[in-house]
Amino acid sequence: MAEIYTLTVTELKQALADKSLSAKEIWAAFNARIDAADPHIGAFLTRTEQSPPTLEGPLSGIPFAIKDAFCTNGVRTTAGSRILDNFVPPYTATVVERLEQAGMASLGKLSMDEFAMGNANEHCAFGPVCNPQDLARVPGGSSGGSAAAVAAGMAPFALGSDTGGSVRQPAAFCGVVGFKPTYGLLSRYGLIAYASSLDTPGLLTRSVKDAQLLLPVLSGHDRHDSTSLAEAPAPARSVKGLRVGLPKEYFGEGVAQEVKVAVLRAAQTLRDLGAEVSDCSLPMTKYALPVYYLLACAEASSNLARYDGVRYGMRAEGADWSDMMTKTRTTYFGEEVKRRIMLGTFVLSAGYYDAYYLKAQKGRTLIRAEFDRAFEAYDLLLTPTSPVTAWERGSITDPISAYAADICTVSVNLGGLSAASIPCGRDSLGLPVGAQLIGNRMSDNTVLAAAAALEEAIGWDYTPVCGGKA
Amino acid sequence: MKFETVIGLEIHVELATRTKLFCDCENAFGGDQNTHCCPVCLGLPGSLPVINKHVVEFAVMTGLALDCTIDPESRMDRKNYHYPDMTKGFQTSQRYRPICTNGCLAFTSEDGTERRVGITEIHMEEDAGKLIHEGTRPVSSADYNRAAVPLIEIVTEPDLRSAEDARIFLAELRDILLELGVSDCRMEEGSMRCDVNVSVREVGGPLGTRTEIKNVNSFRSITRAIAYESRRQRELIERGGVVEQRTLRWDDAAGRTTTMRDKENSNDYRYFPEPDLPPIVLPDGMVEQLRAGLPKMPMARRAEYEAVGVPAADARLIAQTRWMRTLLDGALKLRADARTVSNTLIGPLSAFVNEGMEIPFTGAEMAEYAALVAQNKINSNGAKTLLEEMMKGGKQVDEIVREKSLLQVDDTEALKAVAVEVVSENPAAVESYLSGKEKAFTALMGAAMKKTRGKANPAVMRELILSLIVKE
Repeated sequence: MAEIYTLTVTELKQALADKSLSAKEIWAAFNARIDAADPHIGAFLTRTEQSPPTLEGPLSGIPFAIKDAFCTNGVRTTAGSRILDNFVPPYTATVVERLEQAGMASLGKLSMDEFAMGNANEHCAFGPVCNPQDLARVPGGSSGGSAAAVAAGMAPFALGSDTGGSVRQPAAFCGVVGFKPTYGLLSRYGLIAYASSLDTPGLLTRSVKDAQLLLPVLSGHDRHDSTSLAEAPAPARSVKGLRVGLPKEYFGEGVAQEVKVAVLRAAQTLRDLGAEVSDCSLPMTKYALPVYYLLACAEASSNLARYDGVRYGMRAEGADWSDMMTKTRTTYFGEEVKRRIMLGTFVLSAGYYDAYYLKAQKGRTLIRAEFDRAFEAYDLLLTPTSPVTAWERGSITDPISAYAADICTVSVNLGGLSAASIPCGRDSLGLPVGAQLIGNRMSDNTVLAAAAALEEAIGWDYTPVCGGKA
Repeated sequence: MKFETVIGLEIHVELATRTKLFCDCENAFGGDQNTHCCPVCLGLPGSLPVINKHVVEFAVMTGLALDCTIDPESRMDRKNYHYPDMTKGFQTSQRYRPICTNGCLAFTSEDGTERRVGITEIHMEEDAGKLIHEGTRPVSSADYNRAAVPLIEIVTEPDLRSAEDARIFLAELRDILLELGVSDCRMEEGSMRCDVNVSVREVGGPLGTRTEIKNVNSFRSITRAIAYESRRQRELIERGGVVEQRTLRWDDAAGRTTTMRDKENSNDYRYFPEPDLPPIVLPDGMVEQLRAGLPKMPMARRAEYEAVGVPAADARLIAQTRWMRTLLDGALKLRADARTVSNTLIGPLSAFVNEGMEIPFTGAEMAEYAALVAQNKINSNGAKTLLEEMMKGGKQVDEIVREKSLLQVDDTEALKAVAVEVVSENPAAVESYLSGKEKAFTALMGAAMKKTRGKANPAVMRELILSLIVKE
């Protein structure tokens, strides 16, 4: 039998059901795997000390891990920032609570870019995470710890959060499945906010089937989140006959040739499965990056105002509260966070609000409208998840180049859409390429069904790796 | 130059909802520090607001009472600034789409003229916590029990022209809010707070530059602060100076305003729509339902009372006082004499209530009492006894009147016999009266009342005695 840590959620559930494995064995196996692999990867910021789980529920005995952006009662939660180095929340995020109610047990909290601002996990205040596919390379971000933990078999499933691609892009870089549900389908209560109108909890797994299994556990209206949806997503449609669009803007300049080739091969596979695949155009895509960064930073500048050293988190000494607050924020926020707070503060300032913030809101409306039109003609869109594969740590230093790498993912958040990234091939360096399937709001089940069919046809080998080898 | 003062008010009112604006924490004044708190009102990382629908109802009710336009789809916005009593680094408020706009409130000025004040808007927002500075220690502690307590801010047009009018307007507004039951309006506990905008101008000229006086927390301070600031500005202009736009603080002990911040240092609040809260869409029919359920407004009540003969000053007090209103309204339904009832409420019944007693009877009984008094069926002695008995509770009015035989004796023949007795038994008093000492008549009346155990109709008795004496 395969090593326990290589099993998916679905396989673990089956093994527990037929009693070929016990919860205790599973718990021990994953902890042993973390002990062995994490010194090379650095995905875990905090490990949960606890005996084998005994929680009742349909998923009882199955472990998971949590991006450190989700609050966990009694367990340190940092959002990857020194300013929350000592923060232990007195409450648990709704999505974590739902998993625990289903019987799942947390192995610990995972590394991330500080306050989810980044796409390489190099902005984590507690150090970078290594991509299990190639330890010299970044795992993507901001849910880099989550993607790396799942890719290395340190957890069969990890929670991530996706504001501009933060679940899908690291999934693509690490060769796992990343699913960003429709905005509002999963509660944000307890998810430390980066940009409220874009933040979406998401799933990282080693099979689409696992995401399909977990989505109903995680979703459903939450009275603590006013943006949580009351309705359930539409039933899945079969791949046969699905109209799939290939928006040309996602295959243009800046997209690596090997990435294009792998994704277009996936398009052919979908055709072989009976989908009607054709080219399309989404001209508004060119505005997506500036619109995204203006709005996300504006919201972030306000969301992060609460970290003032008064009530919780780290505090620097100062002559008075204002001096204390300034020194606290200067000392304990990282450079990228400060950059985005300043950018966001600027775009909301008197005299600039109309030219930047309002203009960006109008841009968002246009992008949304364009998607609405596209989804009249198409059921799904197929694009690369990232224009490039995982880059070497330290190789991208200027922020504009880093932001540009989000080109394929940010529009989905602006539209509140549902999207999954699955591995569809490798480049000449052997690095995974992610294919992104995008569906309209509430088409989550169709996105996952198509992703599952494509995954099966591709036959990707998800065997956990640590530095390219098991 | 002839100056006039131009005043606009921004009134913050804490709403008396059971729970806070965004969470289930109890909304109560005081309590041990930081005991009415949760992740949401503490603004802990990851927490989210959910709007309390009762706050929306209270805001709509207030808007309807102040004749406002109600926005069926208002929005919350974030007002960004830092202060240690603020848990999120921003206040959730309404900037771009307030729930109520364009209303007005009329009041009667001291000289009897009716004035109208435009209500620019009413918006919902959250209160902040409180900082506690203890002694001389260079440390402050923060109490967040008040954090995210629901407020409405009522903003007026610059329509007031005197400190006295401002005071009367506020009193009128407070009466309305109390009547609606949306707030307890206790200025001393901070549940009603006022910022005052003051400017002066030549009569008929363009508006002058205004200053804003923050947090003036009693009716007395408001009138004093306006009077002071208006005089300061006039004198400044008369000396050739220029009023600068400033935010001021009222120093009640010193009786003067001091500068909090000038225009240069004014905050840029970077308002933007609150992304954690969808638009507040009022359900169909909600506004009409709330309108139908609105209580009668104090001014309308007063006008009704005055129309049936209650003196203006009494009408105001009765309109403001729930137990008085209940009795008067109940009695008026049975066509009781309004003046008799109001006199009884303001006089003897207020005295009982002030002693801490509760009124055990209804408006219907009040009406029976008033009928006896107004139709002269009992005299003032009898009325006093009757009221005392009614306050004991448990007995019907007619029962008390019968048992205590309180009905006035009007029977002239019976009273004449008494008068004859009194005159013959008190020759000294008769003598004294006839020699010009009018006071002596009181003794004769007293004797007559004693013989009838207080029940004689005093007017009839007076005539009878006089006729006997003059005859002699």
